[in-house]
Amino acid sequence: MNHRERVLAALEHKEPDRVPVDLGSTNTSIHIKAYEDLKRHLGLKSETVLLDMMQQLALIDEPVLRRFDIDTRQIRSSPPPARAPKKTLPDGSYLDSWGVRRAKVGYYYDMPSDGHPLRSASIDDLDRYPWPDPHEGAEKAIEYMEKRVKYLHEKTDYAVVYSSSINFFENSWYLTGFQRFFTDLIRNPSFACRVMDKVVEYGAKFESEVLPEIGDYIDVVRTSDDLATQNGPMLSLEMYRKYVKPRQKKIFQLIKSKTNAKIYYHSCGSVSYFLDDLAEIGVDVINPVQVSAKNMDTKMLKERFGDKLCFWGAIDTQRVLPYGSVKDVEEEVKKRIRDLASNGGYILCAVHNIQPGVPPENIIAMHDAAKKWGKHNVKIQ
Amino acid sequence: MVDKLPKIQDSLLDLDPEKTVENIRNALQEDIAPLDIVGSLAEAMNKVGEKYEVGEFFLPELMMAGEIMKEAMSIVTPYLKRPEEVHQMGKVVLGTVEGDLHDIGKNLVGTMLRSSGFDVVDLGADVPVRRFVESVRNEKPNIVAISALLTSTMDKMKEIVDELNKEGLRKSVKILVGGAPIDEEFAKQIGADAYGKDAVDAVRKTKELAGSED
Repeated sequence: MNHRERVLAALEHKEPDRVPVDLGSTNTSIHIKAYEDLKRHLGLKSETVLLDMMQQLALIDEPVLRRFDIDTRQIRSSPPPARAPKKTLPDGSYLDSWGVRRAKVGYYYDMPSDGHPLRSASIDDLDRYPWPDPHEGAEKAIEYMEKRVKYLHEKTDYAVVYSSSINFFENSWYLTGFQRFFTDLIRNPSFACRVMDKVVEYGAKFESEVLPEIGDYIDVVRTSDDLATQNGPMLSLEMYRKYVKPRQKKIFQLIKSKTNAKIYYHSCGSVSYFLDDLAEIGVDVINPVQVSAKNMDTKMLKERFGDKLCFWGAIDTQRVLPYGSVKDVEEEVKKRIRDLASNGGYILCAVHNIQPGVPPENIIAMHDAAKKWGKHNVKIQ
Repeated sequence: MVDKLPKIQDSLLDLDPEKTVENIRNALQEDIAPLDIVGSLAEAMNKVGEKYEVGEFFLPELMMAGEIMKEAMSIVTPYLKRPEEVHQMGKVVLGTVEGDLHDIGKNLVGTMLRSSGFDVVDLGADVPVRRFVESVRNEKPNIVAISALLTSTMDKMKEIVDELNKEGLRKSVKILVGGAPIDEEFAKQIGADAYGKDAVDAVRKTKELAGSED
């Protein structure tokens, strides 16, 4: 099997020759600091290129991807190196394409409490707000992506993962602030819904232009919206079904109408509560399978949802990768393969991006163990 | 007259800010003791916490209840003869560690602690170790509550505990830690006194710590 066939087999719930492995996409990459440690350890001297500004992720170089025999290649709507999308301010913070301010604190760019431009907006203000222009964005994106996805599809045998712009629930509260958005879902739902509609409208228009151009060359469309925290869902199923799910359904239908690529959905945290609903509206793959969160036992997940969802991730980033030994990492990989990989349906990578401080030895151990224990004829005790 | 207090509780549990405010104003007009109103509101917030823990309430409901509580307290407080009476539970210094801007959980803990009668000094997010130590020295809190979301910043909690030890302040204060990557074992390891798994649990632990003081 080549790399793409391996990923596609797993996504079709068929057992591939070995468990496919991903590295390098929007939530499956490595923080620049950990990446530089890894390169030093591997004796690689290339300059680190930034893939993602906010999360300070590295673009994973080909020699590293080949060293670990990674089965995927990622594409985002703008070429690396990542830069401040809209405007850099004198203090070094920047405005993202929505006008949300992000300041570098510690290892990442995050939102200061005054960074939310709609934090005190009225519903009428929403029509006056300078929303990003989806057409302008799509034109630029197509110009860059067309050649690259065609190349990846025709000249390589990797599965192509496209990181879409679909992230409307989070972008909505990035704009208003978390407290305001979540209380508005009770106190002022028409405002919260209007914000979501504005953000959905952007994503729908953007993808309606982009997907017809690249849809035949990609294998997976990545969408994202956190619905849960470490200890449980952020909102009730009732509220999710009323406000979030119908908008997701609309977007997923649009994606399905433009491409045969599988829909990959990223939500951190204890997301098992929403998985039946997500599968029902067209999600094929769930990422990052945060195994350290509540009700995210991988054996249970496979039993309950394995026939309708694929799992992408699951190697623990909160404890095992940063603090475990090489042996712990190998045991973790074995456990997740044992729990998730029967009849396909599992693409292995870390739960979310590999964080600063993760020893290079553990990153290498994860990939070596995936190769050793991922072969379909290897029995894991 | 006596049915005014349950009404206040009901409207808060229905997450209805206008009705809660109206019920409080009516109660004040009928000369119900402001401190009884405060007590009743705190009791309602306990019930909100219970609903959260059994999965009947989620973050929107918890945050909404917190906002109503804030509005309610701004109405009742001017009627109190000794406003400090509402802070009878003790004083808490609260903050998110340096290098970490995540404050959603921390803010929620602050709101819930205030609702339960604690005087809360919120240092904000990205708070240097030094500032935690100085605040313990200057504010003399009963409890310092520290939050972190990142595996790469949680070690700052240990630095805070160590610094408090070094400066001879550790014994004067109880330490509560919380945040996504934190657990009971980590709390023990770094020498904290307790771990709060979420905002409701943090309030419970803070009350226990406040009660366990010498």
